[in-house]
Amino acid sequence: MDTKKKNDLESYHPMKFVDQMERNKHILLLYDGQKYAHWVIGRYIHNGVAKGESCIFYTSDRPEIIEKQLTAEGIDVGFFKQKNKLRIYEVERSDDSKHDVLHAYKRRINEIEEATKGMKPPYRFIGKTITDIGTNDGMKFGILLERSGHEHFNELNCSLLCHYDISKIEPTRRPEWISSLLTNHHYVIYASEPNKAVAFESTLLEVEETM
Amino acid sequence: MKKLCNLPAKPRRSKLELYNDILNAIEEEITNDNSNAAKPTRVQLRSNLAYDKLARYLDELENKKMIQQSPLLITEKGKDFLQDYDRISDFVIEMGIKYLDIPSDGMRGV
Repeated sequence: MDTKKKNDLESYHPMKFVDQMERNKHILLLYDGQKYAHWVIGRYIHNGVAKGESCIFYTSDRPEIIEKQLTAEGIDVGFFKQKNKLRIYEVERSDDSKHDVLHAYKRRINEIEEATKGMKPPYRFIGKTITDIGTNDGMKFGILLERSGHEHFNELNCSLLCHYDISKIEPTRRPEWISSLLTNHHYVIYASEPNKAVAFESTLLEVEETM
Repeated sequence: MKKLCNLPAKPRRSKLELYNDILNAIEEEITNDNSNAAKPTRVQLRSNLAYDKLARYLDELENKKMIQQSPLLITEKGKDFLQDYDRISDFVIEMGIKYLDIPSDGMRGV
């Protein structure tokens, strides 16, 4: 990694927050530029392996693509794979169980058990909850799945970063979808241009009666 | 149905706004009075909060290491929060969201 990129990463606003995040948190990464999303994801995994956590990247893309992205972020993918500290786990692309949240949630739990076989806790996951975020049905299902996961999050004993490309979220109800996504995560990271990017605890947006 | 009375709506602020109001009040108190610590009663007036609510939020802010209470001071982390406030507010506006209302049954979203 060249010096300019190192400096850019260090001055990127959300990084301090990413470095200080507590364990066992459900994290929402919203992005409008892949470059910045990759920065945050790279840092999240870098911090995980540095702390001795086992990192699992769920993807419906080819694992080689993810390996290339992580390498570009300065992660020695081969080394950490060999040490059993990083695994890129390919999941099926289809959302065929779209109308059965319970089934999808159980499938997710099975995937977690399968993906972590032979690895040591604590675990640090990253992935997309659902691939179809461009339709009302897809987003509705995605939110329900996020909600199920969030309600039982403490039982999972892991950190999980869910990433969403804002431009691909179903547009007619986008504020509602984003609001629901925030409600069902502990932290939100907005990976955007450096002057707009920010990260915070989602409870900050909860309404309070003050008198 | 007839309304029994016309009580004004209870003021609603997000935790983001409340923390910002309290931290700003502490910082202004210290700066304006050129003193070493802020007085809780003055912070209460400036932030427009009932005293019991203020006490609760001061405890929260102390747990998050954004203030210390004895004497009442803002920390570096609290100052960082004040700098983040505008960015978070801009994010909220850009996303078209305002508050996250979490119903009393605990069901979240959709």
